[in-house]
Amino acid sequence: MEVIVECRNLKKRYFQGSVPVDALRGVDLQVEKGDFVSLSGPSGSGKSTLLNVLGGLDNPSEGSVKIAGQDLSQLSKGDLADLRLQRIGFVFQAYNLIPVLSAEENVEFILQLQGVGAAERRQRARMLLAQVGLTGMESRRPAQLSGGQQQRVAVARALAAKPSVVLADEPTANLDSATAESLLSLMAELNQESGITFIVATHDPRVIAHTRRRIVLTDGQIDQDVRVSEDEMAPAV
Amino acid sequence: MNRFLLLLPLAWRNVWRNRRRTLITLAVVAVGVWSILAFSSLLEAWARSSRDASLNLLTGDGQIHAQGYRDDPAIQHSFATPPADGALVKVLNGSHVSRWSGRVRTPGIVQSEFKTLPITLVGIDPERERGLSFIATSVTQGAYLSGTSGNGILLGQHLAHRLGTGIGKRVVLMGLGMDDALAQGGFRVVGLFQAPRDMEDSVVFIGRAAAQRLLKAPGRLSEIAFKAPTQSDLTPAIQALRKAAPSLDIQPWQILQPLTKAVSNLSDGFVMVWLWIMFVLMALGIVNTQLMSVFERVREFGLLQALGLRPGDVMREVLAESCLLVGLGVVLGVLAAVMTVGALHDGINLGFLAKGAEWLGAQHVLYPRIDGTEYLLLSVVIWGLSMLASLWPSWRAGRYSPQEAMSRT
Ligand SMILES: Nc1ncnc2c1ncn2[C@@H]1O[C@H](COP(=O)(O)OP(=O)(O)O)[C@@H](O)[C@H]1O
Ligand SMILES: [Mg+2]
Repeated sequence: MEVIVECRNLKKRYFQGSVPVDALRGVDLQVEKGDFVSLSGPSGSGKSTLLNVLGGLDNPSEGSVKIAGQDLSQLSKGDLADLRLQRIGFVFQAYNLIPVLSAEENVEFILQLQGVGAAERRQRARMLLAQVGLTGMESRRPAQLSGGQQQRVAVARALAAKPSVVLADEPTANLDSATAESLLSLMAELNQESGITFIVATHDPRVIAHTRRRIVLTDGQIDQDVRVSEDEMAPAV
Repeated sequence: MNRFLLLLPLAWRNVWRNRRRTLITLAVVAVGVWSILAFSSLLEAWARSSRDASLNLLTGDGQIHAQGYRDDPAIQHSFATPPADGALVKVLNGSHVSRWSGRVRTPGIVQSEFKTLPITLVGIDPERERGLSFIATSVTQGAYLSGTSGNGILLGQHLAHRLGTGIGKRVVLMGLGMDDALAQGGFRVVGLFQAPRDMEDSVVFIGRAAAQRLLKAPGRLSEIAFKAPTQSDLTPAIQALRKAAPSLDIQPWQILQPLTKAVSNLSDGFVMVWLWIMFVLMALGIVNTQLMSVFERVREFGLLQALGLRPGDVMREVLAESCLLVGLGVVLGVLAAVMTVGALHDGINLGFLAKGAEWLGAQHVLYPRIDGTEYLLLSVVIWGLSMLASLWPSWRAGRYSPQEAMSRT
């Protein structure tokens, strides 16, 4: 199996004033193409930090990260930005969308940056919005969409770029449980269809139930790493 | 550059995000640009008017004298009328010069039954002065001179009043002749002219041949005044004339009327000072609003970077916002200036402050013009300077690391 995300002995130390905080204390991880991974653990255990470092938004203090074989420490800021554009889709907890752009334009924006032509852009954006169940809402601005709908747009956008991996940091934290459930089963479904790797940070057990590989972080270290069989996974809704 | 174009639509929407703030900034830029352009048009009109006023009196665009005349305007410093087929007359009749005329001009004294006053006596060819100096169109009582050799004289209204004389009366002119002896002759007042007060008081006009006869200087000229077809560039005319008459002293108005030139420079200087004052105010407004809008959107800049925009792209996006905002403001300001200056095309009448206008050396009616090149240049300068000012907020926007930006709520 092709390894898409790989990190070795990853450490991240922050300073709160002059007090050092070790957010990651030596994380080794390999994620294979097409996998659907949850990253759970108590608040402050380093989930966000790990996703940020994996996505090239933040530098590790020590250790190395490879995305699709590319060592991030070798890249300049600009090259990191290009790597995010081509290889990584992000879904954050909230404020994922550019407020002045419509749902469709938010999805198209990435494609435009990638240099995809207008006709194809439009077609792909509409198709993805249809896949996440937002047909008829393409021209709505984020403020005119519910929290769940906004997160669906964010998922559609993350997939539009055809990335190697989608990194989602508590994507359901602001949603009621039914909406959270349906977003997660949507993501699981898209993972099945597209073969795009997902890493989802969450502490919601219902979310974890949808994932195939379940990693638990404690105090910046991997505490558990379990792979479950298909029949242990929650069924798609 | 490609990215910049791509970011323009996004920037345009961001500009209109805070409508109120955008409208205020637009108003500041538009009013600033409007005031700079309108001010430059007005000052230019004033400088032009004051130049025309003083040059139309007698100077013309330039003059030819004998060497030494400008230091001592005695009839001895005169020159022989240039031959009609000579090089100088050829240039004067050519395309560099539109009008010209020779004059006799020397200090003298005018005497009535009641009073004797110092004046400058000017012998002219009345027909050739038309369109060259003010005198042909400024006779308000009586008649203009009818030839060069009669014994008619034109006096300023105020001078006539001071002399206690009037139309039809006789006065005596005195001056130093070519032979260095006192020359005098009687003249009959045929007309009174109106001009700025000091001109009315200091100059009298007689026929040129009559003046040469009086001063025993047959065929001699004190000066030739000329006008060029275009007022802007005199250099080729001056060069051609100097080449044709190397022994004569040939000067443009800037040398002959340094004060007029100073007014012209002053008005350019005012425009520059005003431009900088307005620009500093505008820049403060622009930088202030842009910084505010940047600080409000730190999280969004983080998002843009997470999506794959380079830090430089984020900077370009904010710069594009300023570019559009200021550009729109400049366009509005230019439109407003074109409309106001266009509405003043028929002239601003300064009659109500006639004394003041005269004192400023301008005519009573100013005609502001829209100078396309000047407007374009000033607009581009303002726009460019504003872009420089917005480099600071843009740079701030691009400087946040994505992680730092995203962790703000
Ligand atoms: N920018 C930062 N500066 C200082 N400390 C930070 C910063 N980001 C995270 N931390 C600290 O690092 C630890 C891990 O945080 P985080 O990765 O956000 O955990 P999680 O996402 O699992 O809740 C926490 O103790 C947190 O306070
Ligand atoms: Mg977190």
